[in-house]
Amino acid sequence: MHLKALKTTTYTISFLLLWLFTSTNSALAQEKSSFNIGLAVAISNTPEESQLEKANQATDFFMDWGEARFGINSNTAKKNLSLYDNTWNTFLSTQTYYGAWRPALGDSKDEGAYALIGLGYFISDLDLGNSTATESSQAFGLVSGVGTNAKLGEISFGLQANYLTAEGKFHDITVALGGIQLMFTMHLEI
Amino acid sequence: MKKRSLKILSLAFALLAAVSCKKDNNFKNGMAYSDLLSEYAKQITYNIDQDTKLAGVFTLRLTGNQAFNAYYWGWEVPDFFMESSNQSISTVITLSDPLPTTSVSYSYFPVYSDGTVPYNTATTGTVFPKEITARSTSTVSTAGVESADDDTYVVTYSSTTGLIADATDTRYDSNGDLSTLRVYTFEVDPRDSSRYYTSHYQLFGSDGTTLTGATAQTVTLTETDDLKTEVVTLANYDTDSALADYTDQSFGTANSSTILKTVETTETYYTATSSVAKNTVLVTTEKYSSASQVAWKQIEKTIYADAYFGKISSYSIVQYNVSTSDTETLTSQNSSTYSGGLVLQTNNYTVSGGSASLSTTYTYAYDDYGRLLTMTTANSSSKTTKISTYTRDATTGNVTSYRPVTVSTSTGTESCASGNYDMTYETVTVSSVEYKKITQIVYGCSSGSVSSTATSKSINFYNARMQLVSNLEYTYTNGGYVLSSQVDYTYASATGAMTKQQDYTVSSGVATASTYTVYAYDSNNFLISTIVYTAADAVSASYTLTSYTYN
Repeated sequence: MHLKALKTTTYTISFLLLWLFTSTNSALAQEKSSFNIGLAVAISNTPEESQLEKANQATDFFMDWGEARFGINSNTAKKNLSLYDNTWNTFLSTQTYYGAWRPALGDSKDEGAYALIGLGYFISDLDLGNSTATESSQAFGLVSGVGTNAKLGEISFGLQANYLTAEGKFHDITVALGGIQLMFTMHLEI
Repeated sequence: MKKRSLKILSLAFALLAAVSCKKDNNFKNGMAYSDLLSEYAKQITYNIDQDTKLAGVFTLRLTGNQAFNAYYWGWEVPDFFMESSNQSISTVITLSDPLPTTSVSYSYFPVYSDGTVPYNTATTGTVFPKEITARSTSTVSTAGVESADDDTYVVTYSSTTGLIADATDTRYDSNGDLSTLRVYTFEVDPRDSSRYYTSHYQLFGSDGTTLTGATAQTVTLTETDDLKTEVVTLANYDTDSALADYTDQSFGTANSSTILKTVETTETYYTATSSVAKNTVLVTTEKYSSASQVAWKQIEKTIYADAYFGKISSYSIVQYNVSTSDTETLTSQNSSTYSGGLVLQTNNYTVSGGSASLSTTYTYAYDDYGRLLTMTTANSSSKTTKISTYTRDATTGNVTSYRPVTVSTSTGTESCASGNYDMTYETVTVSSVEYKKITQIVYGCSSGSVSSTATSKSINFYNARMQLVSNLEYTYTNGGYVLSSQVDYTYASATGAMTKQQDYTVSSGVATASTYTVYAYDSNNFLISTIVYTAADAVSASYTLTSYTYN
């Protein structure tokens, strides 16, 4: 499937989720909708695949619209391999395009605790190192999380815990693509 | 906090808790066995394959992409020598003749210097000699008079494809009358490991037209992404139509029946099925007493640890007698388990009344370089009965001693068993030529321990190609070694072909040169004459001179 088409599919599913939840809650539907863009940087992250370790801190770029969040989560994991008398690093880079429902856990939708649950489309590259060609994989997976933020004028700061999970196939190798991330978030109301 | 929020909060945490255990797809193993990383795997290749047309004497070279252990393969196994670096090991092979029915095939898996075995399947395939169109022979008398023989061997090739078509071997008796006529017909082999195979063999009597017997062979190949199946069928006929046994190419008997047909099916499983694991090679041999009645059956199952079919993980062989009502009765069973491609344990079974019970177990232990250190034999009750120990030189890894002991199953007491020996390895220079000298001293047992005095000694000298140049045997008599036999060999420096064997008569430890044999080769290194000379350099018997005409 073409990448653009897949992204569109992800967004469509997210919209459907949003519609589902907002339409079943008339009180929420009547609330004033808000629009935020934000950036999150991981304080800690752990790749889902048990033998992989983090290669750098994960980042997440997102926009919130009402109770919906759309975002791109980037993460790179690595494994130092010692095989066949060679030692080298193998990198797994994953970009997750996701759409999620973001219900407030407290009374206020704009600040306080919130949860995230949605679907992600995971696009991964497995860099095998040296002269071996990089392998790619695309897979659907789950995005979930909880977070909290404090509003300082139009800017909010907060903490968010994410759990992303998906499984990728790279030729004959199966790898879990997700990760557990604790992120520092910052977002701006527009 | 609202009730709904609490619900969602607990839902989210439950979700996180449920999935927060990490996934383990055994990433490193996945990488190790992945086709993607095959270029990092330890690979071996041969210098010849099925497209090569072999000379009479050639060097079979096996090259690894990483180092083999020089000592392990150069000294320990004198058949091989290190060549051009420690990544290649070689051996000189001699083919008996360039007839189209002659072929060789090698598949050999040396252990790398770190004790690991190669990851790939390496084999030469079935390799044939240089093509001839004819062979003729003559007899040379001791006086050197040559007289041409009537015998002929003629090979024809397809005029359109140039491929081998048939061969006719005609022989005459001493009166000049036809004695036998053999006709071989060849087909293109569907397997990519071979160029052709003999599809028909016909043996005619002295009239040249009456068929004494015939053998037909078919080879079929079917291959999918999941399974490769090769079937080789051999059948004997009295004429070309009725199955019958005949002496020349008899399949013998099995399960008290005369065998008229054999079918060997080799199945290579690339993916698992409900009954067979992935990367399994299953070789089923069936011997038929009639066109459709199986009398005997053997199944060899080799399971490989990876998709390269290089490392064996297990091997088993079972044999059955098959009744006329197709009931299979187990007659033999053995199996082996492997680790890292090296055999760890072999189980031998006693089969009685169709059921097997474990009889003997052999367990093997290796050093870090994959070299055998001990072999332990255990009985059916898993009690150790024998331990064979190899001592190795710490630097070179060469075996320096071998000590087998029998173990009492009741008391556990170890006592000396026969076959004890010590080995020494030296490089010696004779007339500025270096030779490898390997000495083996054999010891017997005395009062349950290894004797302090030897029983015999043998010294072998090898040239740089690790070809045996001299073999000296000694007995230990009256406190000293006394020479009992000696044979020397000479090789052509360019090709490695053996050119001379010098025999000695040994008397009271003194060797005296006696007869010698001289081997002569044609330009393609095929043997054309074997001449035996007396100690006085006279030809001792008439000999055959062979001449080949090459295609």
